[in-house]
Amino acid sequence: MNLISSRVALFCVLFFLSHNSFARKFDYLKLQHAGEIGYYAIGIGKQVSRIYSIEFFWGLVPKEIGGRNIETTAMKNFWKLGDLEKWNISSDFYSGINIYYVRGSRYQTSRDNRYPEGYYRIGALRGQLFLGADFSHILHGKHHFYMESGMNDIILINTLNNGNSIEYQNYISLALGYRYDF
Amino acid sequence: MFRILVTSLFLLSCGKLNYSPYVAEVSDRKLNERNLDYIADRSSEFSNEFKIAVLSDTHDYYKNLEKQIEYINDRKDEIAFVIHTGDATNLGLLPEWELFLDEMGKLEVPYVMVIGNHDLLANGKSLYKKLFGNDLNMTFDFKQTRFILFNNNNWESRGTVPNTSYVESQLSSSSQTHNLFFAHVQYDDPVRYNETEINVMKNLVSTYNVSHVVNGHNHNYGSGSFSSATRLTVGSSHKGRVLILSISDSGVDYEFNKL
Repeated sequence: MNLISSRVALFCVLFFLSHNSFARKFDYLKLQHAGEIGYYAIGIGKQVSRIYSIEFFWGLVPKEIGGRNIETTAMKNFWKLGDLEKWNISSDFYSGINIYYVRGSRYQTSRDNRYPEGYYRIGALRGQLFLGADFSHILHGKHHFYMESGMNDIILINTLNNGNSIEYQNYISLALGYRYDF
Repeated sequence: MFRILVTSLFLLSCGKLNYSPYVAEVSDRKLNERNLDYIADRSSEFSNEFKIAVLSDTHDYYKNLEKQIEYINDRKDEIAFVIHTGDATNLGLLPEWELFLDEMGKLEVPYVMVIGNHDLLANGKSLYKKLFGNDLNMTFDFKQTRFILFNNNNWESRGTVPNTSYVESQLSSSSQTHNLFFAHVQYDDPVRYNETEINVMKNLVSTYNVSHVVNGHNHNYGSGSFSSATRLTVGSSHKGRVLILSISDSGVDYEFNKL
C-alpha cells in the first residue's frame, strides 16, 4: 500500500470512528469526481448560515491518469443563490470560490532554492469560481447529487486581459459529486 | 431569481471533467516532428532567398500573439516557417499550454518550438515532450541553412545544459552555408552561466562560423554581438514586433517589424 492509499485508509478509519463527533462539527460528507481537485476527492462540509457553507477536501489524481500522483487540498466556500422544488426533487443553486493547493516540491516554484528569491511566482496555489446545483429527492433528503461548473484563475485572468482572443467557454471545468447529510 | 437559475443551469451544461491543471499527462501531438515534415514539404515552394519569423516569450499575451499571427498569416507566401524560442507559459501548466496551442493553431505556416525556462516548471517538461516531441534539442536544414535549436535553461533542467557536445556535433557535421542558433536564454547571461561556460559557447560560435545566435528570455527585443556572431533577442509578444530573418546565399538579414 503506497503512502497515498495509506492516507485515504487512515482518513476513512478516523472518519467512521469519530462519526458522532464529526456530525457535531460538520453537517455532511462529499465525494467528488473532477472539478480540478482530483480524479476523486473526499470532503466534509459545514452549513454556517442559511446561505453560506464551507467545505474541506482532499483529492487525488492517480499517476495512471495524471502522469504523476497529484494530491490537492481544497477549501470551498458556497453561497446559495436560490432553490426550486418540483416533481419531488429539491434543487439548490449556488455560487462558490474554491481555493486549492497542490502538494509537492516541483510546484513550489517561488520557494525553490535553485532560483533567486522572487524569480518565480507562487505555483502551487490556485483559485476557482464556480456555479453549482444540488439535487435531492424530498423523501430521501440525506442523499444529494450535485454538479458544478467552474473556471480557474488562469482562465479568468487571461480572459479579462485578452478579451476575445480566448474562447473561455472551452475551459470550463465540470465536477460531479455525491453528498450525504449526517 | 429565474434568470440566475436559468444561467446556472446553462453553465452547468457546459464544461469538461478536468481533474487538475497540474496533470503531467496529455495526448501525444509531437508537433515539432509533424511540423518539421511540413517545413520539409514547403522547401520546394521557396527559392534560396526565403524568410522566417521568430516569436518568443508569448506567455499569457494572447491578444498580442494573435496580432503577430495575423501579421505572419498575411505574409504566409513569403515566410517559410516560424520558430518560437520558448516561454509559451508562465508555470508550465496544462491550461496555459492549451491556451497557447489554441492560439498557435491559427497560424497558417508551420512552426517549431524550443523550450523556455517557464515551460519547464511544474510538469511542463513532460507536457512539452507529449505536445512537441521528446527531443529538447533539434536540428534541421532548410535550403542552405542549418537551424540548431537547443535547450539552454540550465537552472530548470537536470544534467549538463546546454548540451555543448550535441551543439558541436551538429556544427561539425554541417556543410551548410549558414549555421544559426536558437535557444531561450541569452548565451552570455552572466547570472546563469559562469565565464567558462560562456567561453565554451563562444568558441563553438567562432570555430564553426555561426553567423547569428537568436534567443528569447529578455522581453525587450534588440541586437548585439556574441563572439563572432550577431546576437538577436526576439522580444516578448507584448512589445509589438515580429523578428523576420531574410536568408539568402549571401547572408542573413534581420528586421524587428512593427505590427
